[in-house]
Amino acid sequence: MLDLLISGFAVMLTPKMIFFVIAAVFLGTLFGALPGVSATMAVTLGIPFTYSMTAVESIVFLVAVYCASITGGGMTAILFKIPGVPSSAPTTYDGYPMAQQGQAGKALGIQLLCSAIGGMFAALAMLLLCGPLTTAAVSFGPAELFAIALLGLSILSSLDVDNICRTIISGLIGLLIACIGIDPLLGVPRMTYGFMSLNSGMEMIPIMIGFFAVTEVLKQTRKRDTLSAVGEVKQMKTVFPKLWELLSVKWTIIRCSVAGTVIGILPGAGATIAAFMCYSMEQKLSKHPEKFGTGCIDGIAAPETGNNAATGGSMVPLLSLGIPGGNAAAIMMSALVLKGVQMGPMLLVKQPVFLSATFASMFFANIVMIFAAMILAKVFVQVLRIPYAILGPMIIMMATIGAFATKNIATDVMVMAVCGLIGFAFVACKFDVSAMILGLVLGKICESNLRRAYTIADGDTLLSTTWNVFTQPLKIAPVPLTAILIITCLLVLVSPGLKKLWDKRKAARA
Amino acid sequence: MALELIVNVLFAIAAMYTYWYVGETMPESDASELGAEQWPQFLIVLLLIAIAFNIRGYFKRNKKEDITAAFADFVPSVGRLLTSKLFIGMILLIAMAYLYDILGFIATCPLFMIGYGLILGGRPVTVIVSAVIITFVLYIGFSVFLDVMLPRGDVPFLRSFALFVESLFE
Repeated sequence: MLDLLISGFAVMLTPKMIFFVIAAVFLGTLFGALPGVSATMAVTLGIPFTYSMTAVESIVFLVAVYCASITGGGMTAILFKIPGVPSSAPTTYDGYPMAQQGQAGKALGIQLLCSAIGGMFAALAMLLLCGPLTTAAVSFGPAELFAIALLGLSILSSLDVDNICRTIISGLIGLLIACIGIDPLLGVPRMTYGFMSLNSGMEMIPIMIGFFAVTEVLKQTRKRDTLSAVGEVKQMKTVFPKLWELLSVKWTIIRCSVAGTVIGILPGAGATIAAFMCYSMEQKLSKHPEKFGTGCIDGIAAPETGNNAATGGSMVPLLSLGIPGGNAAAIMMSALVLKGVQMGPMLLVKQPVFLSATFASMFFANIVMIFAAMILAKVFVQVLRIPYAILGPMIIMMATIGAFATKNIATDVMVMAVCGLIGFAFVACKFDVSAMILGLVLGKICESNLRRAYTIADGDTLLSTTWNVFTQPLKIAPVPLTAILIITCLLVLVSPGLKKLWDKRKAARA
Repeated sequence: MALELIVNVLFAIAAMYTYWYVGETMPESDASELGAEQWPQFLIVLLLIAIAFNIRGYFKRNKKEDITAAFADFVPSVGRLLTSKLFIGMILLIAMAYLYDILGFIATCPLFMIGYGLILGGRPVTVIVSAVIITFVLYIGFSVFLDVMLPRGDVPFLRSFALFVESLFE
């Protein structure tokens, strides 16, 4: 552990890395604060900056962008009642009323401190959890890794309860797109429809940039032509809470740090769910729930601690299992794969520097973030007055730079543009882009592990091999983990439907 | 509303074709192995089931008269889309993607930013000035300082201009 800490800070505390993190924090806070630029889009737009960096520098930079964008979103939620990122939506409930009462600076101070504490707690949790999880994962065979990847997909489908079918369709389409290209075991072109250019498969980065950045700009094109900054704040000065004020929310911060980290670890669940869950949890646990929504500091502390804690949590499955915990982690994974990094349980065994550097980056970024946000708060109103007529096209051009620089071919720019249009149609038809992207990212992991498991397992027929694959015990313990995980997947998949049915019956009885 | 049903049906047709296509083009697999065609075919079967459920849900969610009205309005709504700023934006996006490598970043970026900015209702002077400044900042930032490859274009004078800009910072 101490070795990891030392190596992490040794990597981090070089002038180059410090500069990268400071730049990333400013960039992330700014992106996060701009309504219409989500944390995922912020990470996507951060990708072009990483092309000249090493793999470790890239993850350090992108993690800092991610953490900062979540915090940046909270600032606009307080000042203008516009959540910069979806995870800041619950911050508006108490942040904006506080700003209306003339305590905007104090609200901002609480938000920044709680964000930083939540982020640092999650970074520490990540450092502690990744090691044991990796040790366990190294003993996993391909069948178990397949089941874990599948669990990620099934959890995602259960999160959007009102839209299960469309989410499953989206995830399956993502999994199918991942099949395009040379077959991983036989080496023959598959689903290429005669197009040679599809032989190498679908390049992840242009697709993600298209779906997350371009689609969002197209959505905004339909909606509005300027970013409307409401409120009468002209300049903002951050006021940090007094010690007794901070101590009064200590249990809120502790509970939400833990809850946010746990929610972040769950594949599919992210900062937005963490923020909403923490807010409602604290409201239920509070002795004065009626104060929530009127401008109480607990109402700011809960979602801001929770959403920042989720950022660290989402890095746990990515670093220890090679399975992204959410969209932003999926983009980071693609950026690392582009640099030739082999994701999976062996990553931290062979290169523990990825974990230590990510921890140091998160820790450092959360401290820098406080100062960056204080500086940015002063010019915030002016930044938010940038008309969308300038901001929208600029986002697309930055996205284009990112897509082109992947392989320096124009086809990737066209892929990005087409994916942007498809993403827009997807959203119009209420399909889930996130599910599709997760399917796309997990597709190759799922298939290659499943097929390797079939190759290893004994069996005369496909049915008997399937039985052997799913019931084989772990190497380290006589536990059929694959079967347990698959059953869990099925339960997770059907549980929202069953719950709906149960609620209907209950309502009918009442 | 009509688009949702059309997209679902198109997905189903594409899925059925892909099922057949994968089966036809992949080598036959061993009896005990999961072949190259079986994983996509398994996914397609699940996809078709999910689409069938979704279409069933569509008819359950929406009233018959609403669906009829949505289909009656489909062609006019396509007409409305074709004349909207969104559609012009989409055309600009595809044109930019096509011309990006040919004209190079220095020409494509301001042209796209001005075009898109104007359809978004920006003031012409503001849009033009900001487009030029942003192009310059992005080009220098990425190409010179971050060593990210940006296309210089195939048109000789644009290429020469890009090289000239880069030479100013070397």
